[in-house]
Amino acid sequence: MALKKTDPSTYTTEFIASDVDKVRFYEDPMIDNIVTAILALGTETWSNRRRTLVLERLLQEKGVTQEMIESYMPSDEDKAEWQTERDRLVEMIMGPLMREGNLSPSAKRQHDE
Amino acid sequence: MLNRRTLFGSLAGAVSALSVAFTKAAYAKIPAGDTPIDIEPRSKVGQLERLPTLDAESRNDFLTGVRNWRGGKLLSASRERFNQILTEAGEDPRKDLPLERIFQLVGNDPLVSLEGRVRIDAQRMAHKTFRDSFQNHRGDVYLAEPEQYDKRGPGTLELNPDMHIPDYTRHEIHMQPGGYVGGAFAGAIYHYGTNAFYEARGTDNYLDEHHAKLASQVSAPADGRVRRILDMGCGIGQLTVGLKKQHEDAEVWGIDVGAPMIRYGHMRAVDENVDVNFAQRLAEDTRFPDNHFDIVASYILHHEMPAEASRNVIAEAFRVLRPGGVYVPIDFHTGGQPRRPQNAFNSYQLWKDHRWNNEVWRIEYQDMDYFGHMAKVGFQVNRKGPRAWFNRTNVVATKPA
Ligand SMILES: C[S@@+](CC[C@H](N)C(=O)[O-])C[C@H]1O[C@@H](n2cnc3c(N)ncnc32)[C@H](O)[C@@H]1O
Repeated sequence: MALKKTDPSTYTTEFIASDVDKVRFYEDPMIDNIVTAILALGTETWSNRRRTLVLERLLQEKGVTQEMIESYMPSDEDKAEWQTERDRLVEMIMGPLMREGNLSPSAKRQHDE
Repeated sequence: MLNRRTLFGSLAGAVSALSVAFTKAAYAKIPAGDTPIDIEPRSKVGQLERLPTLDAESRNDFLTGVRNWRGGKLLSASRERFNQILTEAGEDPRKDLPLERIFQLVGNDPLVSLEGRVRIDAQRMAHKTFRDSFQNHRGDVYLAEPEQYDKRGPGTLELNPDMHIPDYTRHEIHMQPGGYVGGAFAGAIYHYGTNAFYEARGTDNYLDEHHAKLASQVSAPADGRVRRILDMGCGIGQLTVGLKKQHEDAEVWGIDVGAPMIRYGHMRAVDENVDVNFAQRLAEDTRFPDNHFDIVASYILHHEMPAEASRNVIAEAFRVLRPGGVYVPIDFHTGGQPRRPQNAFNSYQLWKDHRWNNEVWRIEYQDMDYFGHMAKVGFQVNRKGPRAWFNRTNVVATKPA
């Protein structure tokens, strides 16, 4: 493999990528994908929940009530921004379901293909 | 490969507006002039700067919980199932078995599969969370940060962009994106990744207390003379700094093949005002004079190199140590205990760690006659040295006086 020189701005050099994305542990790789998607969902759920906990603490201190939160109307700008974030989430949860792992857990390494 | 320029260019559009809204106040311009800016938008926990965003921190928090669950409840259940399957097939689970036979027996078991799957996913997602949080949110600022520290003291940093980087060091070991030499954020990713790894095992390292303890467990030469210390494969310099704190009057060097690793380590040492020197050099070719160091140490270096490189490193440690100097390579299974897994389940776990956690060299390390080679190059080998890490005994090799 021909290797590139060091990048002078980051002092990084070419690396040998792992092929771990291709592993499947279940006979049907879709099950692998679903497990991954569930984990991703879990991280997002907890991250949102944790943010809500922080917000609620802070809002309480500032006098923002539950009712004000429920009746908030997003602006057009809000909508556009939130859509980008929503699509990222969709990709993260649904993306893994499209993988097609074809290496068995016992497959030999094949870095230099 | 990530490049400062491409990152600057794409930043404006790529940053999600939502996250900017939450962290805007934290974005600081890098001032011209002498004072380095220490980017710490969300303050610290112990000595560990909090991740750039609340979301990244929360994702990592969840995945640390997953690691904990995987290494506890799921691992026990998986082991039990594994052994049950073997027993039912007429095998003795207390004995080792050829991997082919193991794959054949347990390959499709849902519980055993789940353990493998979850382990990999938790590791990959955590790494991705770290990398994305630096790269996408504040990439330019984070890349600029070490530039301001590179030439700052008290200690020194030597980078060698033209040096030969052996292929074996270019792998994405334990799935770290870009590995140690190819990821611009390798230092930070390694730091947050290992911190979560220790935390999930009940070892706090927010204050580098784990490395401070290791440093206190590194033996000094019998004559007590410690003027120079070398930490090989120092990574982000946590042991290097620990050794300096342990031996304040000594000149302490940390060397590593990964420039992004030692740049991050140097930055941290400067922040802490600890006078240690970092250099991008190879452990098997340190370029230090003969008989130069009183102590040569390393921590979890050898299991990440091929046996041949390990042998060269041992010979190099012998060369640079002065007569009476000690070599303390702390790693998995050093000292008196057996190196190979003793049963089928452990064999299977080792295989998965090697193949799918991308611990490319770990099996070679397990199989190598490590102590024999130490003796061969001239060391007096004490396999029952003091405790270090989770090893009851740890190898301490002395260069004969
Ligand atoms: C698992 S890390 C250990 C880092 C550090 N000792 C710690 O306490 O966490 C292994 C380190 O060894 C480095 N390394 C691997 N091969 C090397 C070599 N031949 N010479 C110098 N460093 C090497 C890697 O770049 C990586 O930073």
